[in-house]
Amino acid sequence: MSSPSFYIPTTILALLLFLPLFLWNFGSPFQIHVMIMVCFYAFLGTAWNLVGGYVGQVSIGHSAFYGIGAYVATLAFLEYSISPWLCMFLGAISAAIFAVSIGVPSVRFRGGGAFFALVTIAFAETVRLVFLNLKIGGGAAGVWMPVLPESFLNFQFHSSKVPYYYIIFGFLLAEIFIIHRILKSRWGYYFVAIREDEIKAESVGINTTKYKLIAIFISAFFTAIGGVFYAQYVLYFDPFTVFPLELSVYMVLVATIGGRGTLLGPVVGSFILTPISEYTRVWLGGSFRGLSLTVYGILLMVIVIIIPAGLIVWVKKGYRVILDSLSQSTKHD
Amino acid sequence: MALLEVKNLKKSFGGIQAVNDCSFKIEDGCIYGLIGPNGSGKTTIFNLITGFYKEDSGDIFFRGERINGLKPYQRTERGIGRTFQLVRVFRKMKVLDNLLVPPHLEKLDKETRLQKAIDLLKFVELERLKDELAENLSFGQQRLLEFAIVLMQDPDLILLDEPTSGVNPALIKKMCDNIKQLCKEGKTFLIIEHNIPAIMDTCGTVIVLDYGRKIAEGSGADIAKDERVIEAYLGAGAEVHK
Repeated sequence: MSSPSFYIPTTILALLLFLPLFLWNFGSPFQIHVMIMVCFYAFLGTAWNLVGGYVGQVSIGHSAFYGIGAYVATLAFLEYSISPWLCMFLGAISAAIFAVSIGVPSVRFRGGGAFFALVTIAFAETVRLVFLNLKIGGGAAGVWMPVLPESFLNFQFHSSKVPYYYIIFGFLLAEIFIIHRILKSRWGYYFVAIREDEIKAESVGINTTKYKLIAIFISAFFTAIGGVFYAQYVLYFDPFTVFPLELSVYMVLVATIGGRGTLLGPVVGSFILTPISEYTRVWLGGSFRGLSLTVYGILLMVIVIIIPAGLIVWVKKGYRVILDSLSQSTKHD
Repeated sequence: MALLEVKNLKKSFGGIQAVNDCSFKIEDGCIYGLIGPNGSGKTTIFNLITGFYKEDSGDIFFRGERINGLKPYQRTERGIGRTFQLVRVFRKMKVLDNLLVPPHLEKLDKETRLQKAIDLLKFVELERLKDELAENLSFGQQRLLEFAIVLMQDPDLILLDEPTSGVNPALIKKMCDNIKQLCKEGKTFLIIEHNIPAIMDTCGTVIVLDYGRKIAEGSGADIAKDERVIEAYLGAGAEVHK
C-alpha cells in the first residue's frame, strides 16, 4: 500500500476524479468542458488505436462509425422513445456491423497500408454524403435532441457538466480495461502478429481476415459510443459535425502523438492535444482559425522525428525516474 | 498414401514459366531436399504448397485431400508449416512471445505452452535471449527463431527454405542433427538448400528442379552422378572431378 507504484497511480486517479468537483466550485464550466473533451478524445483515440495501433490497419474513416452511432441512437430514441442508454447500444452495434461490412472488402489486401486508408476515407465520405443528401435525420439541417428532465436515466444534465465528465471518464476506464483484457488474451498475440508481419501471421495459422474484422468491430463499437455521447452532450448534430474527415484525422493524431500500439498512448496524446485545441479556439476566437491544426502538424513532425514511438515513451521514462527516486528515499527513511 | 502429392503444377509470372508441369510425392517420415539453380522455381513451389500463390493449373494433395484453393492458414491448420527464404519473425515482439503466437497452441494450457516454448528455445540455443525483441537478434539467430516457431506449430510436414543460410557451421551441424532427430519422431521435411553437403548429409531423397521442371529425383549419391543435374548446375560439357 505504501509502495510508490501503488500510491502514484491512485493519486492520479483520485485527482482525475475530484478535479471536476473542485473546478465546479472554484473554476469555470469551460475548464470542466476541456476535461470532458480530453477524456472524450482519449476514448476515441483508444478505440482507433485497437485497429490502427495494434493491428496496423490505418483507418482514416472512423468518423463514419462515430456518425452512424450518433444517428442510429438518436433516431431510435426520437422514433421509439426508448432509453437513451439502450439507444446507445443500438447505435454502437449498428456501427460495428457496418464497420465489418466495409471491412470485408477492404481488409483482404495485406499490409493495411495506403489502400486500406483510402478505402476507409472513401466509405466515410460516402456515408456523410448519404446522410446529407437523403435527408436522413433532417439532412443538412441536423437533428435536435428533445430536452428532457435532468437525470442519469435520461442521459441529460443541464445544471452542471460534471456528470458528463464522470460518464465519459467511466467509459474511458471501462474501454481501457476491456482492451487491456483483449490484448492479454490470445487475440492480443494475433493482433500484434498481423501488424508485425501479416504473411508470417498467416503462415503460422492465423486467419488474418477474421481477426482484422474482430478488431474493426470492437473499435467501431467504441467509436460509435463516443458519437452517441457527443450527441447527448451537445443535444444537436448534423452530418458536418459527426462525419468530418478532421475527426478521423484527429483520432489518428491523438494515438500517434501519444504512442500508437500502446494502451495509454492515446490518453497521453489527448492530454497534450485537446487542451491546445480547446484553448486556442477560445483564446483566439474567430481569428487564426486552424491554428490548432498547425500546432498539431508541427507537433506531429517533431514527434515523428524525435520519438517516433510517441510521447508515452517520455511519460514512461519520467514515471520510472519518479518511482525510483521515491523508492530510494523510502529506503533511506 | 503419400503425405503430399504435387501433380502437374504450373505457375507463370508474366512471360516467365516459374513452375512447369512439376510432379512429385513426399512420403511420411522422410527428409526430402529440393535443389536447383537460382530461379529454378523452388520457392515458388513452397508458395504454391502453402497457398501464398495460386497455381495456374495442377493439383496439390495433402494426406489425400485436395488443398488447392485453401488459404495459407487453412493449410497450416492441416499440418503444413514453413519458413521463408528471407527470414520472417515478429520483429517487435519478444523472442519468447514469437513462439507463443501460433493459434495451434490454443489447445494447450498456459503452463504447457510456455514450457514447450522454453524447451524449443533451448533446442535452438536462444533461451538466454527470450526477453529480447526479435529485431535485436542477428540474422542467423532470427533464422533459428523462425525454425523454432515452425516447430512450435507442431506440423506434420515442415518446409524449410534455406534453413542454414546465415547460420554458423557448428549450428548447421546441430540443425541437421535436429532435423534427423525430428524425422525419427515422425516429422516430414522438404528442404530447399544451396548448402549441398548439408543436403547430401541430411536428406534421403533429393528432387532437382531446373527452369521450373523436375529434372531428377533420387538419393544424394544418384543425384550427384546425374548428367542433367551436373549440366543444370555447371553448364553443358562440364566435367566433374571424382
